[in-house]
Amino acid sequence: MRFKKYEGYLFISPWIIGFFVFTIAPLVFAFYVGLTEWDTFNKPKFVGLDNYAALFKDEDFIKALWVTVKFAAISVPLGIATSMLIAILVNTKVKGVYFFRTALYLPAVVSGVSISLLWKWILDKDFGLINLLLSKLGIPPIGWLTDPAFVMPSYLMIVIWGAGGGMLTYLAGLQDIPKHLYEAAEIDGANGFRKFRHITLPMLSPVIFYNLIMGIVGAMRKFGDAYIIGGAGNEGRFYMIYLYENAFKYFKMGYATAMAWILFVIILILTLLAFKSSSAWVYYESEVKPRARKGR
Amino acid sequence: MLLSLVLAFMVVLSACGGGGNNGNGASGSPDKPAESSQPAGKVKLKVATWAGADELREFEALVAKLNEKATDYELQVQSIPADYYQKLQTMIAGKQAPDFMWLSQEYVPQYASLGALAPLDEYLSGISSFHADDYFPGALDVGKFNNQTYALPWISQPYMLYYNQDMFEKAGVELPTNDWTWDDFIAAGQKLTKDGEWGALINNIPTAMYTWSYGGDVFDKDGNIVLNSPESIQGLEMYQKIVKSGIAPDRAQADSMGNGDMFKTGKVAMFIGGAGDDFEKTVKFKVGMVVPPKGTKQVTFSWIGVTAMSSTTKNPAVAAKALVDMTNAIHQWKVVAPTKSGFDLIKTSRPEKEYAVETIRKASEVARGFNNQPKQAEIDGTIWEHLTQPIENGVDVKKAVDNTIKKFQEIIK
Repeated sequence: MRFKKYEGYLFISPWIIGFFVFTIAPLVFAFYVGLTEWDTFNKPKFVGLDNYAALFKDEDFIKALWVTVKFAAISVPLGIATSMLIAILVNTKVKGVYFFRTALYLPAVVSGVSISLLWKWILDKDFGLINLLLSKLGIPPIGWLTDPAFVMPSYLMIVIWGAGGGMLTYLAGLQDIPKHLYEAAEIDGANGFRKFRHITLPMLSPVIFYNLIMGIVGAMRKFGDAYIIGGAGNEGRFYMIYLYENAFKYFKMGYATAMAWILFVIILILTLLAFKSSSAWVYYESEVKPRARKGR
Repeated sequence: MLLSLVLAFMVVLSACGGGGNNGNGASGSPDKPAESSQPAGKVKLKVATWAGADELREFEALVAKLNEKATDYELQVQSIPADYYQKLQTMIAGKQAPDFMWLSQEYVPQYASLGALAPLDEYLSGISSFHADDYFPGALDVGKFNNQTYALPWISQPYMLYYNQDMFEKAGVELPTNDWTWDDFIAAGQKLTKDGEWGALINNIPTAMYTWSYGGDVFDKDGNIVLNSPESIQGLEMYQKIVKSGIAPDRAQADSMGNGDMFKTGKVAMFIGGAGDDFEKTVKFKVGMVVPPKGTKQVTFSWIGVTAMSSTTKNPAVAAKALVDMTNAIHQWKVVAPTKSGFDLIKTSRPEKEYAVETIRKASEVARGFNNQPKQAEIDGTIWEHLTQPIENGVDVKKAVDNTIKKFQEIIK
């Protein structure tokens, strides 16, 4: 028996070793680095919690955090709503629905860098597509990326445009809802809205929950397109951009690592809150809830 | 059973890998001593470059020629065309630094102060093919930190004032000269500015250059802040005057056109850019160039690229010699060379620039880089955020300077 146990470990050892060497060890190391001043070329110098103390006095850090939180707070619900709406639209039986599904999913297939470059052009003040269309309506050009007030709306526009990429999980969820639920509701005289509110939404809630968690994590860690697109008045300097600048431009690896830990804690708290709230609104078919029993 | 044997083997392999990984910081690489103890073999030297595509092929050809001639070293090109500095930093941190690395001038003090670069002076003095006095003085300066040379420049592109002669003639404005002052520049610019056309594009000019024009600077050679000297203030006030005069499109607008395209398409009459820019070949109008306008002093900014030597190179004496050979060879390749002897190359390799060779030479003599500091990246960010933008937005120059200096003090403390 004992031999069997070792054999088991042996079988999973490639993964276990990989996990320790490439995940646990860097994590422990990163915890230490966060407590040091480290230019990466020389030995780290232990400074205790100085990095964390300095961060909360750093205006640029607070600004970057604020920009990111603001973006997450708007973009996550916006993204969920748009993706779900698109999924519901392409879940209907209309002519050419496969074309629409493909077209709407395209943003998820194209490389992020090329999308960013494309948007940089679309949002350009003088030669961009949006201002060209606006000029036809007689609206003067807007500095989408050059006027601080318009930077955040520009990023939200990109989120809406990319919402088709998030459509897939909702579409799968929608097709999983048994038809008889709707039929039963129709017999009871439910209208379209009530069917959506009392059947579609609850049945989709696990998918929404999944997308909420992924959305929070993704929004807080936003980097790729912001790195390329930028934005005036530091409105496009998201948390990860500032972290990157500290690590690779200013050679403040300890400071950057401390930032990473703070981000980790923020994401952890947000995710925990989401999980805590989930029992109130996420419905799993396999679970039998006390309330459901009472209703019977 | 066979499978578990294979797995066991893999475990051993990966365990070794893991162990090696953990140990590498402390024990150092075991395969070190071989090369330096064998004088007969050639010293292998890696050169990190951001060159890619055509530039890389030309550089590799140059290196191959050097390797043919060399008896004691062999250069190997390591091309990093994307994310150059990030990868370089990772290589140095991982004790895998290349022996030589191309750097843009502003990185020299940062890398040198962190101990990544080898000081060169003790080796250079013994190398007969190195001629310090052949370099234009400003070019060699950017390779220095704390009075030590850490890098040799291989290109120095002075900024020139290009002008669209057709636009000047059409507006009946006298052509720019090498003796223009900033006030002459504004006066001509105003005559050339009209609906949809501007006198000049100025957002290329580093803000520090205006302070130099009046004998000021951001930091002096010893690293003291001199941004609030009367000379510096005078220069920055001139900058604000130029912005307010309305002869140039605002920065956002100019940025979105990029790379002098507004000049190329005849939307602006004057443009300040590198001497190597290809306007002569790409525009339909007649192009001229002069040394940029002056304040109380004639000076221009120069974009300077250097090669530095790693502090970890195993045979620094041989490496320094290789560095000099390589740098001298690049002077015969890249335009504009930072040396007086390499300068004339521009006539043969860029015949379209021949009309301006003497002007470019004049600019090269007064060209300089920044007095870069170990924390230059943060300083540049501060200048952009707290000096350049506020001045452009009409904030009082002295107030902007005070704010900038306050930030500087936090950075360099």
